[in-house]
Amino acid sequence: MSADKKTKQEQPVSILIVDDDDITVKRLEHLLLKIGFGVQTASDGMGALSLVRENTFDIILTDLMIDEVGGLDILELAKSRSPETEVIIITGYASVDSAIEATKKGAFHYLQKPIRPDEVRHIVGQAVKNLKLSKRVRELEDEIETEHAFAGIIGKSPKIQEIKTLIRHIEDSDSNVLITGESGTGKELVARTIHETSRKRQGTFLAFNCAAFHEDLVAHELFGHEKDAFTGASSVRAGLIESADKGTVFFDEIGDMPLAMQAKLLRVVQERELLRVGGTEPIPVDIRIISATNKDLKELCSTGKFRQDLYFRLNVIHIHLPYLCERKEDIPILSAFFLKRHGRRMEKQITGFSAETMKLLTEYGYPGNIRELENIVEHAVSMARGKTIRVEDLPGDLSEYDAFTFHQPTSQIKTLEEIETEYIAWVLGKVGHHKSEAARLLGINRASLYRKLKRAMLEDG
Amino acid sequence: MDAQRHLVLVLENGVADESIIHYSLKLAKRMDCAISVLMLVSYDKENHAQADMGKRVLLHAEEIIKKEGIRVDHEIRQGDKASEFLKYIAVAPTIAAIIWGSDEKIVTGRRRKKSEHWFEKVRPHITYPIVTPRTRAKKDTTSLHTSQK
Repeated sequence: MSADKKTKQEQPVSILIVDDDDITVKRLEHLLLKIGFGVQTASDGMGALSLVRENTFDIILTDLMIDEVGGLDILELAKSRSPETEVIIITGYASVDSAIEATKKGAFHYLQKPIRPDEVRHIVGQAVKNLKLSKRVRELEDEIETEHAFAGIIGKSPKIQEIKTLIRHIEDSDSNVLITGESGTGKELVARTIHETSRKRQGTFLAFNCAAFHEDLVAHELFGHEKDAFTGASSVRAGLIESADKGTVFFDEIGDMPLAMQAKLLRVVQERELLRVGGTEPIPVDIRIISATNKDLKELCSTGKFRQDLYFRLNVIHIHLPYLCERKEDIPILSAFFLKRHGRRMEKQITGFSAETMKLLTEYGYPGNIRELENIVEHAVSMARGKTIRVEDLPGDLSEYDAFTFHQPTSQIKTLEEIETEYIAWVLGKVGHHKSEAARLLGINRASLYRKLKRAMLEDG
Repeated sequence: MDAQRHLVLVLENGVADESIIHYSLKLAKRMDCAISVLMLVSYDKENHAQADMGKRVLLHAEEIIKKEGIRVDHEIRQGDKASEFLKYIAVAPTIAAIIWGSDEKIVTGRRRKKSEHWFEKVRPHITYPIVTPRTRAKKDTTSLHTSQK
């Protein structure tokens, strides 16, 4: 549990007492302070409303008939600001019916005058229990929601449904996965989801950004080093791949991996072993590799910047993530998700977006994809003063500039040869690169398979 | 190695609308990007004025962007614009999006006749999102058009 949550739990229950009868207020205040609650009081309706507007109380004890502002007005305002606040109505014998009516409108209970300390203790105690229960339920709901969002990628669009289905289909597979898509489309989230739903979920998930390191650093980070491998290497150090044994390694920006490192990675993929820098003894590793890129790897292969054999080994299962503007129907649900996330973080009770704001959000083009949408919503939540996000709360350029989108289709038509090569690589992956078995499944002889592998550069020679 | 992604603001003929620079700034902050400003000027013996003006515009743009704490670099290329542009993006650091800072109609397709503009010809070959500011006539503000391939 976070320190923040702990602090909140340790705070005393805050109670507001509202009554125009000073004696009742004093008696209740004395009694509740003695129990250990934090107590504030108001002797008139306007003062009470002002306190409710400025503070969030856990419990409010209010007289039903105060002045021109009644207990029901206080109940309504308190519940609209904080639905979890428990309101207890104080009433005289003559207005018991009205008090019962108030409970139907959301009041927790009613106390009949004259006030009896035992009854107050009991009803307030019940309200505190209820409060704790509500908080726990909310915490659990939050946990479930987070889990759901983590394991289930958010969105209802056909493209996202397809991706979810594919991830479900590969739950029992250890095949390598290549995720393509522009920056900000959620590639790492998909990679984590694949890991969390796979047989390797008990193992570690380690992410490595290939674009963030120089070539020599990539080698050290990925493969580790032996003692005295270079000046300053005073001890053996396991690299990231070794540390992820029995788990998953996620290579982000794989298209930026230096060629020399690609050769080393190919060895890991093919032989399932690695050599530490300065080492001579191969170390066996059992990892699944998920790679991601926003570059055209096939194009990089054709210009010699990416090894084709490695490309086919990594691309056993391919998942392409669409631009956000290609799944506009998901923008409202994603916006609502980010609103909840940041509203909770900033402790703001914002219920939604105005229609005009949502229209603007849906029409915008998002060159930065989902990450940009989250950034926009976060900005809006921090700016919002009311319960609804308005156009004025959005970043200036969005509200000042009109935005409409067109885009060209991202799908590419593959040649038969490409499809054949990808299928062969997939079958090989399924059978653990056992060529006789792969040839049998493909319905061709071993010689034909070798010829095809050589042509596709999946095999040396 | 430069891991930060860049927005490439493409300008031509030595001119730039300042609102486009300010828009680029806001987008760069939101997308956590650096900005590269590219000025393209056609090669012409008589065209030195445009190139000189372009250099001044780039320095001005750089000053505005730097003030906001965004990493910025600029480059002026003179010659065949289409060819210079393609060569530039081929070797540029990781690009997040291209902001087209010249005539918006070239990208939005709002021209009545098919344009012979060089950018219209190279646009199908660009795989990055293209963000295009355009003027909204009624409210006299600038608007945006994003094209993603």
